[in-house]
Amino acid sequence: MLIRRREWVAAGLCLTMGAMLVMSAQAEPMPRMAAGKSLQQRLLEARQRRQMQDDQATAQQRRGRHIATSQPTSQPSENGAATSQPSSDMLRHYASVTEVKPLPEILAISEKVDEYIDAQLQKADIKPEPPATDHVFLRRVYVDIIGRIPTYEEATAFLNSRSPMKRSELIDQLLDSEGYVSEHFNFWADVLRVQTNLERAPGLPWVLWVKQSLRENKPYDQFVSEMMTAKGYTWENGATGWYQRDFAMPLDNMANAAEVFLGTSLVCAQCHDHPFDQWTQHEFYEMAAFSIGMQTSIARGENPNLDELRILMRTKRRSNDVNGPNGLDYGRAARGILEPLSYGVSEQPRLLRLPHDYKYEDGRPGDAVFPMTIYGDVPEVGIEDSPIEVYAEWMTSPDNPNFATVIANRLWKKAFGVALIEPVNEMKDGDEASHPRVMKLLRKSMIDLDFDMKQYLRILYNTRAYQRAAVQTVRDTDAKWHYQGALLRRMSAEQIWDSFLTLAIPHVDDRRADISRALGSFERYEQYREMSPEDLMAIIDERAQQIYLNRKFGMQRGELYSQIREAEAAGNEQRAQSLRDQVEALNQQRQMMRQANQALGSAEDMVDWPDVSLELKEEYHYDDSPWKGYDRGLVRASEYPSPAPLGHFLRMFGQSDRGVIENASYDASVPQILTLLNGPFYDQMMMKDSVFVKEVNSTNSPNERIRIIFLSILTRRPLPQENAIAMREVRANGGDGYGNIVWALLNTRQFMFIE
Amino acid sequence: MKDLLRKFDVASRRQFVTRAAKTFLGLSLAPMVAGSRSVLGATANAVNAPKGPNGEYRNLIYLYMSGGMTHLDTFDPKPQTPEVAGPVNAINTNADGIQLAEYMPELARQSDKICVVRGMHSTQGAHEQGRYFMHTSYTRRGTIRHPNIGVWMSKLQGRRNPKLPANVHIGGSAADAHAGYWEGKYAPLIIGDPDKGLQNVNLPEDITEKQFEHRMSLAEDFDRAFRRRYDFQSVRAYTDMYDDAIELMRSEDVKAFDLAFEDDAIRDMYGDNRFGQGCLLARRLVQSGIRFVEVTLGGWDTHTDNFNSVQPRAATLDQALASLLADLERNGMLDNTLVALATEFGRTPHINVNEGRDHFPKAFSCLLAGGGIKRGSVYGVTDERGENVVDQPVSIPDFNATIATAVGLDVDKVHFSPQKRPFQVAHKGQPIKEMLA
Repeated sequence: MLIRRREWVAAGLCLTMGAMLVMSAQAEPMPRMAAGKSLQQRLLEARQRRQMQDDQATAQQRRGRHIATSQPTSQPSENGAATSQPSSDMLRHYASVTEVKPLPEILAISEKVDEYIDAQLQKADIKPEPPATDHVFLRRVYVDIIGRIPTYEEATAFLNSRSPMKRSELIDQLLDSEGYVSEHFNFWADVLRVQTNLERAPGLPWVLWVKQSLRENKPYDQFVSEMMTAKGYTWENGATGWYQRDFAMPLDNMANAAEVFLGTSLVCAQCHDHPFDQWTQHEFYEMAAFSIGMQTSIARGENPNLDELRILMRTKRRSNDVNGPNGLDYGRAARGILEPLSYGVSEQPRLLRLPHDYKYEDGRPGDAVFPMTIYGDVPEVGIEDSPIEVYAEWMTSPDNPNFATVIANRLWKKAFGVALIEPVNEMKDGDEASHPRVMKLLRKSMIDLDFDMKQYLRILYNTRAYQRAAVQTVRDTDAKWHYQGALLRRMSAEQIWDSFLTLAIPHVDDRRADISRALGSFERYEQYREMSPEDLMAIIDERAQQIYLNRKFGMQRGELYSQIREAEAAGNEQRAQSLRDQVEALNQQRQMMRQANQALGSAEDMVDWPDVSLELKEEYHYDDSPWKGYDRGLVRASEYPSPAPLGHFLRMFGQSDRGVIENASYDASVPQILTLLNGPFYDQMMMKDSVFVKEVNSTNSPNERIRIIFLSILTRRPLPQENAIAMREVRANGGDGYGNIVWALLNTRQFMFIE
Repeated sequence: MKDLLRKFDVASRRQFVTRAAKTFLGLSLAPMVAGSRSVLGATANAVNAPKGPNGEYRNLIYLYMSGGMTHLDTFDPKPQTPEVAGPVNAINTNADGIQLAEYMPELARQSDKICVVRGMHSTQGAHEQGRYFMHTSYTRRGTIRHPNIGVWMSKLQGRRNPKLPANVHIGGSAADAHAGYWEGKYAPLIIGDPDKGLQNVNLPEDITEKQFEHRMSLAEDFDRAFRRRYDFQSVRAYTDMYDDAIELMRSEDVKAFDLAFEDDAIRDMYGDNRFGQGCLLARRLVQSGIRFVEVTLGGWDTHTDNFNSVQPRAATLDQALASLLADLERNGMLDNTLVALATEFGRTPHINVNEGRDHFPKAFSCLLAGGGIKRGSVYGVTDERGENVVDQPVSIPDFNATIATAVGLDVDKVHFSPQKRPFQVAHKGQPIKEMLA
């Protein structure tokens, strides 16, 4: 099936050209998925076709696991806020899709990693730091895996455990919790530039898809492959967000894919040969030829209903009517229907040509370019093949030299702060890992584990290298890093926000933002898609009529108002009053018309709405009742729109704006400090229902209270001299004293820097 | 830090404000002569700017007309072509040869300070793309984000007042509030509402200065061991930032963000609206050493009812801009402050069925005024319909290169982004000498 690049070139390009022509002749309308068919079923069908062509039994076996069903989204326990249970009862999704490796198998790999790292430490004559204390490990592993500090209760549970394997057990428990989804969503949102508001299509389904993929621990190769080959509307296939993110910018999208998934920076080669790497512009175009067919708008011919509706609208848009809706009114009326139906992803036969300013000798401007990968075995695009499927297969294959390395390296960096190969997104040929044997082992493990990210993370977090105390000397960023100890790291914006929330909100990982409205509109879009153009036009007609009436009413009233002003200016109070009466009459008339319309029923009521079943909506049940009395805005960062609005705490502390790949910032700024000093959120933190205030109030002993405060905020006990200071504070200021201590601890460096 | 905290013994904000008002009010009305000590601590230095390679670094107040400002009803009126002009007449100004639309009567009295750029043309006809192009001189891409000129100024020229940020946006879009490929610290500080100024800069009402000091000293006690153990730059940066923030809270400089220190007469002069107050705030910020301030005025996307929509918009702009120019001159700041006005594109000469004008990137107007600019001039000519640039065309990169040159940025120097890609301040734009003084 696979042939070498050179042979392929020799075999001639006409085969691919033939494939293109056949595809164009067979171009089918956008696949319409039957209502109610589950995402898994659809995936299964798509996969089955590929599997049939796959003659490698092992590969087939590997993909077999993709067919597992997912668990439904978890719900907060009914007694959520009332009782305070450790969040370990949230264990549920782990291994829903994948096989959990027995811990000894994982530990054996961790041990191997440590062996290699220690050998290099010895060679460099560097003494590693001692193992981190339980307190330090606890705080670090909570923040790294679930993105927040532990609650007092969670901390106590771990510290009091006498299990000899308690660290490994905690790692498993955290990887298996909903907090994992939250932290890793933030991580991937920064890498993939996930935005809730995309340029055209709704982005929320993409957000939910990424979360659900993490929740069911979708194997990474499948996660990437589903995005690369995603088709349809975002609300029926959230993975299409990957293409909608770079709406109408297919070349940029390809460069982003190469960077994120293959660790290869091709952006320079988009416009000219890469000045610092080997890639040529021609090679860039060859890669792009695989994905250029992925279109982000629904073209004519793909959806006959939509085509017909567009034709009907053409006449309406030209309307010059002054006594009824004009073209603009129609445009506005149709927007809510035409827009959602117009932006979906489909693969179209499309030939990529060299740009008009192409200046190298291996081609001329306007020359057609044929798909070819920049390295590895060049896959053949057969007559029946979809280029993007072939490309995704090549990209995510274990045989691809970069794919597994990049994800192994990326997740390593997340755990350790420094990647084995830096920078992760710009690996160059010949770049060597700082620890080649570790890199090789981890790459192999990633493949052996079938790209199971949780199993892989278990390896990393169980290493001694991860569990060492933090290094207390400044790291020379130019020198090789030996992993002799942990690196002190500032929490991400999301981790800081979520840690604040941990103090205040019970079961914070399970609290959801209310997105039912958005889901309702996605369901409506799905219905539009099933409806006849005539039915849709009836709805648009009615809406246009309303828009026209509103406009007319507004103009009449505006005219009266300006006459009133004139009359007032002229001192003609009588006329002004009569005009005011006219305004009042107009308002009443409008009101009556509205009521009459309501009584009659609207065209939308008459329409026989298709019975659709939107999986997104079925999966999502919003219920905030366990959190009654807590500010609605206090949900985890991952529940906020991605990115959070400008000016929000999260943005202030450096949350990525999801503009470009990995764009989060960890720098200090004056507004951050002003927020920490004088911000409004201390009220929420200190209210009597806040999680840690309840904890503090559960005892009357000042010593005990101080211990609880320290453990809740800093995950450690107070030092004797700190305890003395705190006791003095409480004696001097009574209840306010506790508040002062809390405020002070939240304004320490050790709150936001994790050892 | 403790010493710093003890220095301040302000009993209450109210008392402070009263005292401050007494001390400062008179002065804020008096003309500020270059080099004189005045309202704000740093003002004196603000005028005697540090010298750059091209002489003095100027300040830049960048007024962004969001939505695509009609050129035909503001800076490039066409009264001789009624089907284009609609009801809008042109008026003479105090500068020979400059006519403005009649919606700009105040600016007509300040036109000896402006250079109207009538030959603008762009390739981008959609808002976001156009806005991005105008701000960065590069067309929008999915793989990288380019910095705008405020970022370049703070990156390459540093801060004039080390206590204050270098780059401030008042209002405006989240899409512009980034540092491009440069470090996040060059991104602008955002002021949402000029009336509210800088957020969280005052202590909560129930906390006294004394309590605050006490809390800070507690925090230091609890953090001492940690800071000793991790004497890292990243940690110290936060400790320093606390010092900066507290210093700012107590300093005179923070008053720069507080319009309450301006006399009511001055506030009224700029106009009782966000843009007017934003322009006044921009003047205050520049006065205290912030070199780049962007103020946004939205609502220019006049697809329907163009004339009724433009009139109040233009009135807001006219009042604020004319006041700003007059105020800058009176304060002796006009020579070292460039005022630029930009927008993503113009509007169609054709008036559509809804009495509106649609997007028109082929020909439109921008404006430069004050420092470094050939004042009382017009650059660029459009045809009688305002449809084509017939003389002195100005591309967006050239427009930005002209601004950059006036504020002392080298437009030819190639800078390598962290990804090692080569970039220039205004892409390949070159300054237009005829617009520069």
